[in-house]
Amino acid sequence: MRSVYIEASALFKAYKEERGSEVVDYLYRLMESKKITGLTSQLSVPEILRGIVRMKNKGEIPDEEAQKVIASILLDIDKRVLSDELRLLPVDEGLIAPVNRCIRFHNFYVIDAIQFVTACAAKPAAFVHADEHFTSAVVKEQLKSLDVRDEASLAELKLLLEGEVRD
Amino acid sequence: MAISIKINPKLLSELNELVDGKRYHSRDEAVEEAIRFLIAIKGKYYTRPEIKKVFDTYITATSHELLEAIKEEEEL
Repeated sequence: MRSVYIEASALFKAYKEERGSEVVDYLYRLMESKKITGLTSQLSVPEILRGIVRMKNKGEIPDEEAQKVIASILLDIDKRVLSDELRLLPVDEGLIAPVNRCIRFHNFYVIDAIQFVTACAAKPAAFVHADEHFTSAVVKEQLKSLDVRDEASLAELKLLLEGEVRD
Repeated sequence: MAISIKINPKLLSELNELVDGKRYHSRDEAVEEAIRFLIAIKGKYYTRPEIKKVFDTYITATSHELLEAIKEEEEL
């Protein structure tokens, strides 16, 4: 089965409606119908949770609501992991050296380097993100990367994934 | 202190399905997760469209801005 790596910036859009959400919703439908497997780093979920807690700390969202949303996201992801729609990839010890190289030579943030190197090791059919840090040449050389905010990304994914599923 | 919870069989089955499929380092960790699931299920956790509505209500920043702020925190 084909797999698609959903980086945290794209994964967040499965739970927050904004530009690019329709692309992630499309991927979720393919995952639910077992046409593809979704992949992401184990650190993607804490990244999203930190974003919510940060808003709670700023008083934008009440604590009770933030906790309920967090519990709901965790449960949704747990269910997808158990049904094998989504795999949370660990930060393997063997990935640390390439992570260090990404930071040293390509100026990646730590979390971006972990996401990129984890994705490369998993060899997905596509790497979807919503972050200009992943538009660099080093990413494009290694992965079929698509920014879900780009209008063309949905059509490109449909061609890439459904074309191959029907074969 | 002992705690007893009345739980319907369908919910118990759903709870066990969630917990059984995972590996835990300790019994406490499994119990903690089971309680979290139970609270989420009993508390009528939000579906994905409902989560989106909550974010629409409270959060004006984009997910990109939220994640960028976290990365900047990392830099400090």
